[in-house]
Amino acid sequence: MTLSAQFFADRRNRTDALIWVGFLALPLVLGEWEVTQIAQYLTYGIFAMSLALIWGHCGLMSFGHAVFFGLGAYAMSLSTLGMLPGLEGWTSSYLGIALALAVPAVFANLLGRFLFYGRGLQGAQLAIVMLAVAVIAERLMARWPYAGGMNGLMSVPPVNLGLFGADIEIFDPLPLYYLTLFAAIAVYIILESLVRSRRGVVMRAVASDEARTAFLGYDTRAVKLSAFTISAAVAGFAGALFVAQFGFVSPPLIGFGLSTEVLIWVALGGRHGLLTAFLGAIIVRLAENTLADLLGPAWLLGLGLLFVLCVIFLPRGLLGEIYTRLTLPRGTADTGQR
Amino acid sequence: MLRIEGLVCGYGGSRVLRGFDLSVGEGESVALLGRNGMGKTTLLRAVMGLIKAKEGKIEFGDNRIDGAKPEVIAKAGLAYVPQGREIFPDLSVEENLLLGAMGKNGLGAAVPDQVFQRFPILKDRLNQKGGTLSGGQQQQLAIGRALAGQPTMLLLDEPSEGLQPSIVTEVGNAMRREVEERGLTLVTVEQNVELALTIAERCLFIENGVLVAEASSATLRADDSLLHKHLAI
Amino acid sequence: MDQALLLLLDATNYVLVIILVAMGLVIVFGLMRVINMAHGELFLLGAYTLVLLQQAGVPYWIGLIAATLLVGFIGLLMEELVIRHIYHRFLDTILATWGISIAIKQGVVLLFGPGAQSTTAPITAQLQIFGASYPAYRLFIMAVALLVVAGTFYLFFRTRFGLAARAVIANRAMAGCLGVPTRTFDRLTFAYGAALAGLAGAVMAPIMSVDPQMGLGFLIPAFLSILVGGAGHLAGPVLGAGLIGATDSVTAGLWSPVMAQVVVFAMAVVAIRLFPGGLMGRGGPR
Repeated sequence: MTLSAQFFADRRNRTDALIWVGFLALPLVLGEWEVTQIAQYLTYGIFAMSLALIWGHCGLMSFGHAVFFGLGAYAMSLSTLGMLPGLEGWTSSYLGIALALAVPAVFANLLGRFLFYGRGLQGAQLAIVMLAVAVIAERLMARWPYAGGMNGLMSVPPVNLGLFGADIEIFDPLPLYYLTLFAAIAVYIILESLVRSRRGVVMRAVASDEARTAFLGYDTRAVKLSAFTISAAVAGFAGALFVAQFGFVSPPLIGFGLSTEVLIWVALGGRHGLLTAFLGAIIVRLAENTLADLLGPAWLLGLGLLFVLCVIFLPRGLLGEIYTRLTLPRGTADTGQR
Repeated sequence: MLRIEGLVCGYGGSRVLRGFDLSVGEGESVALLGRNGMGKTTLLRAVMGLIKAKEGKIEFGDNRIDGAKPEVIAKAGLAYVPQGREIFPDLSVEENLLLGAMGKNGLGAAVPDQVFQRFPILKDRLNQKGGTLSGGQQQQLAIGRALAGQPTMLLLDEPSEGLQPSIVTEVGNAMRREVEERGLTLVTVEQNVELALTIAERCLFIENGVLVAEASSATLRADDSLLHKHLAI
Repeated sequence: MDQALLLLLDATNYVLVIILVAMGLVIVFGLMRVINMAHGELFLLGAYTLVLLQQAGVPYWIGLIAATLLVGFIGLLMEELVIRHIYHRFLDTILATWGISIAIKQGVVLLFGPGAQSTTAPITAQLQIFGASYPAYRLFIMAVALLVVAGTFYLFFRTRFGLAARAVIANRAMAGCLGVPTRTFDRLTFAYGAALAGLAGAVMAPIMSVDPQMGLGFLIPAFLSILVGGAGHLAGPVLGAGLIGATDSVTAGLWSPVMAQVVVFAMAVVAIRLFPGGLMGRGGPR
């Protein structure tokens, strides 16, 4: 069997590949405006994958994951607007992306060291502590004149792939869509290979029973710390891509509200799969787009109730449930248990 | 008083009891004997409603109790002292006993004096936390708590477990008196043959989830071949 | 002197209000191992019930009682419809109750609109305390908070109802075997916690802007109080609320209200990290 035949023999791989091909083909059937919309939702999708990595695979639920998304967004904005002290003249998107990866990662690593080491926190405490961190971050950003305070920073430029003075601004809908899609696919491949590696197995062992995993000789805190750090970097990357499209960064991007939204996307989509979380974000945003005008406040009411039902009866998420059925190897019965 | 017919139950897909039959008359004291893992504890838990019967029926008095909740079964007059005692370690002795009384007889119920007559040590320790008692005292508390509801029938699981011999004798005598003087119906699961023979008039042998033999305690004292056959002693 | 006294009174008032909100939370959190993220919205419902009844001409005191009972009943529904399915799925309780909180908040927006409502306090007098003038209604709130704490302690630690409730929580199978109706106690305990939130909301409504966002502002400090103080004991959150409320009031008075929140949250995060079981703790819930 050739390598590619081997790859496509796995139904999971086939399904995933099919979904990505679908995204590649989307602009063929959609108008420019929709493509721009979905390009933006792709960044939310990347953000959702970063949360699924720590929540679904490592058991770390966070009520404050937007902190990392927001840090990425601010890092990107400040560097492309030429506001970094000492680097005013150097407004490179590459620098912005690098900082959007590094700043959240460093922050998450320090925060993780503080939270996981010593007498580590348990699940619920971590969730609430992250909530507090998100609220602090939002309040601080709103009071920091350098970062635009309450109003945030306007006219953040789009991603510029040019080097050495050449300008290749990614602004038109199609290039923007494909740039973001390729970024999403890259993130997916990196995280998926992590999840499928031996490291991924240890992560899931930590999620299911941390003490027992530790007894087997694994440094569970290091496992959690590295997952947390990687997740933060990916979230920051998503934030950077988002702000380069949206052109505007403000405190709500780093706060509690977006943190809970991403939780809902991932829970509805399915936290145990990267792709289901990714699709969850995009589908919920699309639904919100069409239904919010139609239903007004009733949309959020319905979403809240759907979320409750999903938590109780479909812990794998709506899409996760479908995905599991689709990708089950032939001949195995779904016992409904995880 | 208690009639079990064709009882099948287990955990998940397994079948620990495979068609178990048992009948215990009013005021009778029986002991269930058998090696570990044969289904003795499972039987008591099934009777108490802690695990559901998959097949068969359980009748207590005139009522079917299979499928009923533990609290309903307790109110009907069945009391249970589980293996490992499961007293409330953070509650005082008095509170533990009160729970036994008011659980069955309503919030206003008091602990009957009978409990303290049977186990005088509990009277001296009323305000001590259950968890600070010795093993023997905890066993007495667990039985006292069950008796506080003035049940008509008591299920006793491994009362001798982890106790020193003198206390085992004491507990055995107390239970014997409870049966003889107050007409309590008693089902005891026990590994300690001596205790089982003291408490019970009739012994039942359980093996792989079915009843395989029974004999009166007097017979077993005279001829221990059944004991050798089913308990490997 | 006046300034210091007022600051002290305000701090005490704030601490007691947090305790009032936290008391209902700690019952469901500490005793039932359920994190109720919808507690803030139950608070909100208490306030809106009072608003609605006052607008209908119902006297304040009747509104107060009605709000408590109604929110208690909503708690009963919540337990029966949602919570019952997810006991022992600890993180899921956070998520599901968060979903409920969104639904309740949006339901209120649908019915009353996003704007603020107002109510009037039944007591408008100002009291003179050592020369400083202080609204009597705020003293009433403090009294209610103290009564609620004392009443809750009494109910759970001095009555047979409380004994049975604690037994169900400690060992539900065994309590059932003793004849304690476990489901009834689940429902009642949860409803009691919800009713306290309703009471807190109704008591606070006259001195707050009653709007759909009012719940969250109290929920977070109340949670942090429980985590800082420890949920193993009802006294934990009282201590936690004392620390959090005092720090908040003092920082707000000396610096600014926004920075006060930042300082308080940061302090709480550090405290939770250093004492994961809470200051009073014997280990928090898993």
